[in-house]
Amino acid sequence: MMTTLLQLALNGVLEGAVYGLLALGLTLVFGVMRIMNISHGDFGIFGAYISYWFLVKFGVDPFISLTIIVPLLFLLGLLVQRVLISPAISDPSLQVQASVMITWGLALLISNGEIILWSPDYRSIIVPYSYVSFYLSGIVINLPRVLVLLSAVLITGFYVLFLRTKVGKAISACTQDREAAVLMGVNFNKLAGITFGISTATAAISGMLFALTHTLYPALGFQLNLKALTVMVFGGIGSMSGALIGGLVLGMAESIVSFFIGATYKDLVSFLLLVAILLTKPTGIRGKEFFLPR
Amino acid sequence: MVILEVRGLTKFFGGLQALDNVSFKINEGEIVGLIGPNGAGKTTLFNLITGFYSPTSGTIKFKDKDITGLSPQRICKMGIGRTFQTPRLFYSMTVFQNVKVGALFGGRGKLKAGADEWCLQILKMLGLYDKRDRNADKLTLAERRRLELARALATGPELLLLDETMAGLNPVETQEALEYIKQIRNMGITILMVEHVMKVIMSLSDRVIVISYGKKIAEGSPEEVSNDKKVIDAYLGTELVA
Amino acid sequence: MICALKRPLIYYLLIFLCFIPTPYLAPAGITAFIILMIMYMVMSESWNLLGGYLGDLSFGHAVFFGIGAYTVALLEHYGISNIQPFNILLAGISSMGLAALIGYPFLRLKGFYFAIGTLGLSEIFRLLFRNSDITLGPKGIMVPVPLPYTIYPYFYGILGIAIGSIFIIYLIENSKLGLAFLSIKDDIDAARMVGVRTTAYRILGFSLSAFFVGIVGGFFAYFNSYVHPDGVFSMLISFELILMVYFGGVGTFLGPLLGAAVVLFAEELGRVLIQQGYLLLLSIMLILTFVFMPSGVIGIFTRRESLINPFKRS
Repeated sequence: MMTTLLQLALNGVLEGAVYGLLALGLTLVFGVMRIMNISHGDFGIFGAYISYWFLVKFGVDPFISLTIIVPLLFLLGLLVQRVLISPAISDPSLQVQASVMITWGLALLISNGEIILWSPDYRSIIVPYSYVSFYLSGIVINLPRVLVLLSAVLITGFYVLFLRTKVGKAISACTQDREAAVLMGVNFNKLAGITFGISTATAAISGMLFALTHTLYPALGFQLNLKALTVMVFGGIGSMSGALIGGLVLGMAESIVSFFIGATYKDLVSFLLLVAILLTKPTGIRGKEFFLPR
Repeated sequence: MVILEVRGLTKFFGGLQALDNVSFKINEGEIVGLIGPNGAGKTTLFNLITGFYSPTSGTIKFKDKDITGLSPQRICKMGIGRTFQTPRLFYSMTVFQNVKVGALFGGRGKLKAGADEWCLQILKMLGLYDKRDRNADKLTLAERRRLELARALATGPELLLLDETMAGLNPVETQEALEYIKQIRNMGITILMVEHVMKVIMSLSDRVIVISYGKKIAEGSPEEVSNDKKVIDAYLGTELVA
Repeated sequence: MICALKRPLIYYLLIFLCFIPTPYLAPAGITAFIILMIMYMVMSESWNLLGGYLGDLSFGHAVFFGIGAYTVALLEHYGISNIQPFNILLAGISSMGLAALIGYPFLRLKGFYFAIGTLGLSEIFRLLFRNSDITLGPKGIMVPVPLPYTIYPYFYGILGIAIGSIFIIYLIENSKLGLAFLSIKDDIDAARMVGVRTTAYRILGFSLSAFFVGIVGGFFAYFNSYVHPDGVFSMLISFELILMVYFGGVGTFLGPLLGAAVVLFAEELGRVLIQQGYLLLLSIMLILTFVFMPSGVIGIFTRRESLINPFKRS
């Protein structure tokens, strides 16, 4: 029994790590720009598809192809923010819903693009070490998953360090009070683009990590969108620690439900969690009220 | 008759104290001015009286009925109307429709048939009749203020709370606004007004209440208040030559 | 053109008048397409009532479609009732009931939370119905329909429903209720300040919007004679409604009607040209609408400022 629970917990943590990472990017964008990016997961899966393509076409290991994917997705995010999102949104009191609608369109664009380019068939990213596992007192630990966890830790570390840099501090400032930050000399438009770019880049990494351990298909993007959203709301919009904690919670919850109740109920968990948190404490476990810019 | 009685009103926003034990009475038919430096708590006071916030402690009585903590809708229907510093109109509607909302929902028992005439009357009184089918966002600032006033009047209030109605108006517009307020008083409506334009306060008010840092520091006739040292130190700056 | 748009009711009646001879003139495939279009016209007008007039944007409106469809399906399947009009009415009522029930807790949330909440709700129902035995889970429910099958009763059925529903929605939008809705959308605090009971009206708006969508869902159960959770609780439906309303012109009366027609055409076009991934066309439409034409087609003509428009005016 103990080993089963530990195994469940481990699986939960490993899944949750990716969810948390995704939510981290999402909450970053929201914190700075008050924009809800519902295509976040799709950017992630897009990154995964690119790494799949590199693997199948050129035999490049996914982690190596990240060197191309990360800057590519960063630029893509920057572009999208400049060209699509910021010109379209005007009314501050509704900008969150507006951003959801426009990014919903974007999400469909990306996922349908994937359907056209790669067909809706399931794909798998198989690397030489995909099936390597360790056994630790009865618990199975699969190597790719360990790499996922390691990467997640590294990326989180990167975020923490990044927030200490000049740009990072500007981001934190905007999150708290955009007007004050602008008055202090922060170039908001430039920063907005950079932030969005960072979030899409990390989404791509998260997507690749997820695809290492799951089968890949276009609709996965939107599923991840919604899970990331749940995690973000649960953890508290704008809170990074909340995003990580939320991710772990969701991962564990899914793991437990999947085992005790049934795998088909797994997806239900995130939505129930979302509605539950909205009805009880919408600001999330670590969140505060967010204020919209005037 | 005392139309509004505020007793021991205190409001904390978290750790920040906005109002500290404020008490005063307003008699029917008066025009009472509420002055004080920015941030003193005047708008908070309005928000408490109109039901947008509940006080941390203290009571508010309107016509001898306790209205502390009631919803804004209830309070409006009981007879208190209010304008905002920046006019909060319904910008997707016409001038007439704005006033009609007030008449239909805030008026006490107004019939739908009578509502239209009532609205047109009010619009005529405030000089907006000709613009009645214009969209609310196409008005000048002075007109928007008048529209908000009209909408508040349409709810049939006995007490009207005006929040800086004169701010941003040129001298001509200010004079017009003064006349409208006098007309409203002649309709029998009691007025409590927040103002920074001293000329207006001193010429219109029967009494003046002074709030500073959340506390009431003076109360009396305009002359008494403008010569009160506490008031001069906190707000007016130099002795006002009447 | 502009003055005719000031009397949108006339246009609306004309359009539906033109529809009347369709089943006699057109092949069954086209008639079926028109039926679908009429269904969406009712639903997009309903969404517009809630989103464009009241200002509560619902991202999961499909949930009411699904509840309506399943109400009919379950009533028929368990043999409780086979009186079609009655069942369809019940479909509307049960959707309305759901809205009223969750309305109160959901409408206390800030705008964005409400929108996301409805999305979550729609998915919850989809997954619940998928996993539950009472609703026959992923197999779906076959709805018995009277034989021989002709398209006429379905066409005139939905036509009747649409004429009635859209007319009622028009009346609502131009009544005291509509004024209350607009005031809430424009400035909810100011509305409270002049005596509008905002929470009550929001729940009412939510329920009314749900009612009509539920009725269409109930009709769909008969028309399609099969309901499945992934089909009737689909997020695509919610997305389509939003696209239809915004493309046509949010907050206008004719906008959603136009939007319904155009979006469905675009879908068909996409299916023919692109086959898989045809939704690409729709997603491009959405993005282009929001960036270049946020007031929607009708919005450009009426230049009506009363649109709920979080997007820049073009």
